[in-house]
Amino acid sequence: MRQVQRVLANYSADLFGICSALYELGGLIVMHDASGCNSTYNTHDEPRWYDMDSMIYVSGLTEQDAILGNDNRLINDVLEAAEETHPKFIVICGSPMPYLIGTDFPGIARVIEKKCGIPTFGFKTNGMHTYVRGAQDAFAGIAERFCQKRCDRIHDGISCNLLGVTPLDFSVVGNVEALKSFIRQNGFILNSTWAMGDSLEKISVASAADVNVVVSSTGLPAAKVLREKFGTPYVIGLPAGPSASEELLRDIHKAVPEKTHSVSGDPNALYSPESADQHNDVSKPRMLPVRVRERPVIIIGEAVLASATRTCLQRDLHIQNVRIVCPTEEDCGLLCKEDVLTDEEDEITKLVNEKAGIVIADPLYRRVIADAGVVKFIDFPHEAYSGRMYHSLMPVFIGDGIREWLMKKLTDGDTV
Amino acid sequence: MLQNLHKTDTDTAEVKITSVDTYTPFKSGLEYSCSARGTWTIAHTSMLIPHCHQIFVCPEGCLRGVVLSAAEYGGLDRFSMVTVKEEDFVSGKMEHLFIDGITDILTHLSPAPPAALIYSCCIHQFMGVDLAFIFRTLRERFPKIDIIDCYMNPTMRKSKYSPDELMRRQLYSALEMMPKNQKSVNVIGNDFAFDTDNELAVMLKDAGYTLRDIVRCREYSEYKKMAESIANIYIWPAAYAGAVMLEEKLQQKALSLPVSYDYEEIDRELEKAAGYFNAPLPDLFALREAADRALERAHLVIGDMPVEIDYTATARPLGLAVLLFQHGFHVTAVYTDSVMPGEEKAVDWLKVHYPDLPVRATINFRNRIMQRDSADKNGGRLLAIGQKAAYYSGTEYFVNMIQMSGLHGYHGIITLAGWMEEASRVKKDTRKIISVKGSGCSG
Repeated sequence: MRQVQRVLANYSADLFGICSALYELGGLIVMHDASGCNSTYNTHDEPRWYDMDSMIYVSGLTEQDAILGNDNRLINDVLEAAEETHPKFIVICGSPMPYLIGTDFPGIARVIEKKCGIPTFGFKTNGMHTYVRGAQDAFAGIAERFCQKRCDRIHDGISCNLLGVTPLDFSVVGNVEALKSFIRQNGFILNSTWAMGDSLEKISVASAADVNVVVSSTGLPAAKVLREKFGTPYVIGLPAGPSASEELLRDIHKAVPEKTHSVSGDPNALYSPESADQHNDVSKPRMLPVRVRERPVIIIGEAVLASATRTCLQRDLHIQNVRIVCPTEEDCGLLCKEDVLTDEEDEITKLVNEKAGIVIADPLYRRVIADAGVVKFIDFPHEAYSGRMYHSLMPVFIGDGIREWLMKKLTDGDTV
Repeated sequence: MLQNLHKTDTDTAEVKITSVDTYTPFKSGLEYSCSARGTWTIAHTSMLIPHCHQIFVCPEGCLRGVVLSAAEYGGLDRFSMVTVKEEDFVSGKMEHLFIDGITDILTHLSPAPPAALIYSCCIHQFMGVDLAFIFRTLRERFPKIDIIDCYMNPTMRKSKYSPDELMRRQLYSALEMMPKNQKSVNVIGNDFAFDTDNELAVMLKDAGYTLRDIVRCREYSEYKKMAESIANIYIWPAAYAGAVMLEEKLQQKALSLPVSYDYEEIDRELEKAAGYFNAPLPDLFALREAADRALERAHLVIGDMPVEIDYTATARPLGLAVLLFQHGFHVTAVYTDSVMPGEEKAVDWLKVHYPDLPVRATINFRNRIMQRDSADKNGGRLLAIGQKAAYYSGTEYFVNMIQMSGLHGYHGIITLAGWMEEASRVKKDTRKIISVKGSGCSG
């Protein structure tokens, strides 16, 4: 039945996506909620919580305030905290209850901003979408509000912004560092990373970059805003494995002079099976046994990483039949016609048990496999799904190492 | 160590005990959630019913915390959910989603669980969803399963009953009237097994009573047998609603014997229990002496090492502070967001004898950038009792006690003194320990 999860979990929610995206930028972020959202977010979805200062709170909505529509308490509490903490900006976002009572977040944000003079965002979250939607809104909001002026490009070479970097997609196991190294080692200048490791001030000069690299679904709307405002082209992709890395580098080089973004005209050109065939160099040795290469693979996960993983499987490991199940709302134009955008347990269960020989997904998806003797399951933990549970199993998927990691996982205990 | 980047004055997240003249000494406002996760949530407590299955019907954001709690303690085999979407707010079919979703889940479970705990949430109550109809229908459809209505409704946490109180009431709502066993008594409302070595438990055992505790139930039939008891002892304040419900429904006497560190109060509680159960009273003088000796021993080891206490360790953190002060310990702070009823006498005593004792909030927004360095200021030597005190003080020496951890009475004090002694000697990996959500829970 739709909306029923008998055995599966769910993804981090929209308001947690906002918190994760803006965590390091010095804002005061308030989830308008009774209780529970804050501990859920910072227990399961925020690995930085113990060590890194960030002002993320819940409003403590009460039954009385909800019934009476008392927004003043929220406004006054936010103003009190803002006066003491001097945040660079303020965010209020909502859980299901404010959605139900029709809380006007943009309106409340205007009131707060008028009273304290601090830029304030009112995001219309409701706890009923995935983190992708929330983080998208957050990054796009920052691009709209703080990337105001066109900055001079004072550098030689190509300068990049990395858009869509949060622990929900990259965790804290080395992927962000590897991603930044990849950009620098390939001769690019890293202008800013949205938003791990850079300040709001650094991010605000995003227009100084020549190209925006969208490395997860969460960065796409911000890329569109920056293209609209400054004409900055963007490319979508992740350097996960040699072929995806090569493709991404080529796209960055191509995007700058042509001022185009790499997926606008032909979104499937990058990672489609057809494209893979074109790039399939038959002279390269097949490192996987035929029996492995012939098994159909389903990858479950966020679109950009899933797509890059597919590229690695297809072009680096020569597995042709690879489909993506994307449960996180945004396909970034990267899905092919055989792929599926769904978070429904019944649909996912049917697909993996009827169509897959190998499934690559977060370990919690293992629970839908009907017969482990038929479907091989490869654990690929995703923080936005299983939270902090599987850090020790998370691979560094940026760089060429993921090819070896996948190859080992694909052949481990292979008896088929 | 967090750096205070925002120049916030954290003083208003701290008051001196002398200025505490209300149960709520801190102004409510934006709330912070610190990294001490050991306390149980409703998703942990409900697992105490053996072999039950829990089902949450909620929006995605609300489900996230409970499903990952279940995943972390290995309880996903006993957990399912129905996701409420935006369209369900306006479709007028919430009852159908509820009933059909639960039906789908329960019919797929093999074997069927003896009980299903089904959680509605805040939005259902605000939308006026017909919960009575839903549960009546489900009980008709699944007559062999105890359908237990549960509530994850934090918006109502300041209303009549908090979700925690409701949980500790509904946990026992599947008990049904049965002939009474005059020699059976329950202890209810606790997440951790009630210590059977304490004088109350020993007194009851010596008088021929069977003491039943949901935490010790391994089979559903054992849980159901709690209905034969003549009384429910509750030591945790949040169990009050459950005790009242059982008194009305099953005519089981509600007996409040709260945790206490005041010898006179402990004596009164034991006398009350002895009177009600017609049991011989233990030697109270000897028990007091034993408690004093244990505290003296602990003090010899701990000496002037600062001690900080928080409310997650015990329902009476201020009462515990009094006991420790009276035995020479150097208590330097108590963390509690409110003063619990029953702590009035302790507040009065502290105001007279230690008026400058700091009382600190734990969820105030200023706590976020509070300097967690009181242990550092004392060369790392600080003994915390409770996870939040450990977190905020930054110490590696702490007693990992959660909701009294089953301790009660004089024997509880003796055990705690031993734990303090040990904790003052042996460093702990504080971060690792307090990061575990629902400490001690397993699916």
